[in-house]
Amino acid sequence: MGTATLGKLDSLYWLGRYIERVYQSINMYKSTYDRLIDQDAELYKGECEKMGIPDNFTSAQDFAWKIAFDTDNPLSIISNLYRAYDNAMVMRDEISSETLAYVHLALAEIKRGKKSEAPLMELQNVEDLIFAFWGCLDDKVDNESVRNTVKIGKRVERLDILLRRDADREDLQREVSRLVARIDTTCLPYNRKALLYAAAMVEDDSSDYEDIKKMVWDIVPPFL
Amino acid sequence: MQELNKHVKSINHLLERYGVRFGIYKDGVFKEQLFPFDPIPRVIGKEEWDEIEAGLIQRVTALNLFLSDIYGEKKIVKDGVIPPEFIFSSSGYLTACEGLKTPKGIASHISGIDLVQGKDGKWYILEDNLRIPSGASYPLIARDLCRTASPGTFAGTHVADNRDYPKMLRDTMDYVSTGGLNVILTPGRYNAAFFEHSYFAEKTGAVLVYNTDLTVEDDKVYLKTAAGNQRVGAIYRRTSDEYLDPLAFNPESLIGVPGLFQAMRKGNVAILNAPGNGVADDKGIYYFVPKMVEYYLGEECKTNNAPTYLPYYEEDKKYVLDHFDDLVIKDVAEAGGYGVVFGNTLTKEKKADFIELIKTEPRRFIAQEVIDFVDLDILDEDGVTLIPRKADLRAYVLTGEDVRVWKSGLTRFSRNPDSFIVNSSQGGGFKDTWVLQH
Repeated sequence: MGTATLGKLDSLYWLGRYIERVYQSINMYKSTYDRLIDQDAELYKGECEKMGIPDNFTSAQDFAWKIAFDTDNPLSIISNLYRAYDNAMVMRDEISSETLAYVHLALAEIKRGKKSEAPLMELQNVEDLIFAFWGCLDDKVDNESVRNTVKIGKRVERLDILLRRDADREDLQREVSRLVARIDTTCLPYNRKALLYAAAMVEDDSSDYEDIKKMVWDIVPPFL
Repeated sequence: MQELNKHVKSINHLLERYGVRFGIYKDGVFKEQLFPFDPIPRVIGKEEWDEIEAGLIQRVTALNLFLSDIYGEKKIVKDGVIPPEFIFSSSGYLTACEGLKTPKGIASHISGIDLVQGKDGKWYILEDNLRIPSGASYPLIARDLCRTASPGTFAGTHVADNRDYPKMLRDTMDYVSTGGLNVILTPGRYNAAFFEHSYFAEKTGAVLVYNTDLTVEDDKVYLKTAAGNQRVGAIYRRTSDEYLDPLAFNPESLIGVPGLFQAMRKGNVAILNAPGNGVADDKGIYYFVPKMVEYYLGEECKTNNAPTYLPYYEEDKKYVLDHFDDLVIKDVAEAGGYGVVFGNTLTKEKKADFIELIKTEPRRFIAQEVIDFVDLDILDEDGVTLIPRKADLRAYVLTGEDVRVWKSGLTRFSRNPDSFIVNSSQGGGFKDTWVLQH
């Protein structure tokens, strides 16, 4: 990526992070929503706590709608998709119109879900479009460094979410090793020490998740 | 073409898919919206196009000669063809550009010429846009999407393929480049035409850049990449003159590149289009374009201007005041359909005020006969009924090694049945323009 400016690297990296955040959020939403229908109406409170989402919701229904579709809530799925869109649309020349199209379509789809009586249908479509986005990125973007910068964003985001959700150490190890394998194929300014520490910590059963989390946040510090 | 109408839903879906939008500020808030597209193309036959093409090549050639002259020897003023007031009081005339020598002597690389076809069948030039004419991306992508949605429509139609525009643009940049990268400089994603900037970057292989991505060192322009600075040879800028370089123009500009103009002056970078072109597409100068053609090329002008009057001349002023209700009056400092007044639409009081303004500031206005231009059919919202609407055509003329007219163009139409104003910023829509090869 010979002509990558820091601004472009930043947008590509955050595009990957937000797309992954949307994907992971939809997955969590699907399982929570299902249980909210007829099981534990208070269940969402625990989810909020785990993900650091302020519980300003009045009911399970209020949570279910707002966390998916409320554009005034910066933590909602739709808000995160907008952030992905903001980063994608300025990268048309790098990721191609074809790849960008899947972000446009996902946004159109989630907007339709706002009025739906069965929002999981539209969210399923958004998830499908995210898969298509990744496939298209691999197929249409020749520049490996561009592809990998977006994927590094995805890996860092996934690692962050896994840590928040107290995932198995095995899952953490897999994600860290993917990060290590790919990060040097990009021009991203990153903190190698933090990456190596994080890699060592996930291997060490005695290390605390909170400490790993802090280390992960340091891997790609804000560089703009 | 009827076939195409059946696929309007699919085409609109594709337009949404590819984010074919333009930005607009309403009450200070930026909003992106789809540019309404009508699938029925404007069709121009080969012979008719050949005439238009020859006229446009001649016109743009003369305008480029005018720009070199006006920032150089000013022979056209010295020879009394154009009064100096029309040059030096024009807001588009930039003293900073005096003596400027552009790479390969070209100032207007991408010219957008607005035409209308009168009911008499003749084509009239309404405006020359030589600064940063936008819009070519819309018929370009629309053609692609229409071919996807309705391939049968195009079988055997002999329509000139318009998808060569990115190559034409790239050739133009390469021709004037002083060596190094081609970049497209955008004012940012909240610019009305950001879609176009990013789309052309993708299609031409140029790098889309913001002002902060560029730096000037030793009067040379560099792109600041993560791997170090890289030399820039040609900048297709989509930032207007006044904001381009705070050291040369508006010192308060936050979207310019300090030192850029000096780098250009030294011949170290090509800027497309060159700063200072506003002096040639000023609505007042428009009146003189046929005279320019005769003066520089020794030829009779092949394009028709709409009959135009300059209140600056006493005789014309008298005509304008006597025929006020029959004329359209344009403020030379405005663009985008703003500052256009149809004499017969004003109340008695407003008319009196306007006439007073013309008397006190005659240089500020031009008046033109209202050309009753042809209506084109558009599909009504029901997707079936055809309704007539006023439409113009923006043709794109690219000047590099040769002067070439893109065999297509942006046909803009008014969605309001009573309006002649077709600009997208005022709610207009667009059509593709087909040029037939046989």
